Amino acid sequence: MPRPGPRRALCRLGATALVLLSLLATSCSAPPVPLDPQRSDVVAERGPARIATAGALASMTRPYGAESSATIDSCAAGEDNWKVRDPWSYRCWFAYSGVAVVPDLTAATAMVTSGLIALDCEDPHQLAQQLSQWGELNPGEPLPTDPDFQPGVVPPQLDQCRGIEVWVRFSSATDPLLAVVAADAASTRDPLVVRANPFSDAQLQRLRARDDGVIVFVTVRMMYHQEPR
Amino acid sequence: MRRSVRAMAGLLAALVALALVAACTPTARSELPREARGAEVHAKRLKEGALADELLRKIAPSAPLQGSLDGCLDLRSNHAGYLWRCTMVRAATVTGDDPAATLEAQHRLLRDLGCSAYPGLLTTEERLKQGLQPRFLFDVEYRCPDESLVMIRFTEPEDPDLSSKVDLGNLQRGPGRGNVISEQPFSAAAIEQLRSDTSVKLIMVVAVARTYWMMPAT
Repeated sequence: MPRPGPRRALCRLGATALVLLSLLATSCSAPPVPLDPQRSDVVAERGPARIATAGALASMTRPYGAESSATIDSCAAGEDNWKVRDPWSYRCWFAYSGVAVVPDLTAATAMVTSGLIALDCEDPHQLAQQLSQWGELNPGEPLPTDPDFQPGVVPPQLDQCRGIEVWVRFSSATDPLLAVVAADAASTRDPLVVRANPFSDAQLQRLRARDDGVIVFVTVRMMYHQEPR
Repeated sequence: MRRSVRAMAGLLAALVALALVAACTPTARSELPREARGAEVHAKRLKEGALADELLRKIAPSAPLQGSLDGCLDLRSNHAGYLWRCTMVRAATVTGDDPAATLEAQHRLLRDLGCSAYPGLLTTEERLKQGLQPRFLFDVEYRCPDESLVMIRFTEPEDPDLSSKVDLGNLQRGPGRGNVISEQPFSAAAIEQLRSDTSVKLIMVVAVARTYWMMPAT
């Protein structure tokens, strides 16, 4: 078999380098121009979001109130690659989370439903409906009225409420996933974290010490800033 | 001449590959903190491991322990209240030639212990009756009153993914493979035995998980 000539070898070398360089370029695409979260216009938009989410959380946990709370303020970068190009480079969100400890599942459902109605959410009765059909949806498992029903098995609820997103998840002191639920309620993997005050170890220890009631995690989240590209 | 061009090509390729690796490697490597291997955490590990074994014996009484995984999940980039979560998983396989009866028996064992799930095993049974092959069934996750989590994964002897179904490193609520402290994977012989017994119509990988240590963020 004839050996390739120097020109062909050079061509191969060029092609290899091109492939590797394009691989480098696509795998580590340049991030957008960083957003300064303390810029005056961003700060000005954050204030109303904090007030609105705090008010919505109060509505969602009435009449029991939130025993513990957590906040996450973060920004996500828009996609910009050969496939997708978002018209925005950053979007910032303020999330306010609270925990209410409610005597039983009926009271917890009533609290969530009336909160979603007060916030004019799209589907305030979805949780009550799901629980009323529990026997058909989940045959053989304890009913919500059974004493050994574990609130943690109720799937998380998500509703849209006029610019505010509401997320609800039930748990209990013996729920093996209590800490996971708390992290789901208040955590972020966004690249730009302005401020993160998640539920603390001490708060979770206090919840674990409760021997009765349904632990209701509620997170209300609102987008407060969108940076055009 | 040709040799030197080849050498140059090799060198350039190596340099570009090195640049690629250097550019894409996170500066902060995931490293388990010293506390996770300390005496206090080790004592918890032993205690929780014994509790996991005890529950596994109750819910899979005729199946021997076939695999275990002990490790910690790195949560540092999560901005949650914890930096690390260490979990112990112990697993066995429950098999049966009558899938419906096997599911019902497992359901009763879990139900009697007060464990519950959404969806539970009887929903899985309905899906089987609709003609779905065991290998396509979704995992189920039971919460038990003793704060154990029971994860059940479904497979069958002809399942081409059987080996990955018994891999405890890819359980959704398990510790993952990033920071393994100790592991006893399913042996090749055990996997081969599961594959070769074609009288079996349903294999359940029953895994008990217990979180024994979480490192707070502050």
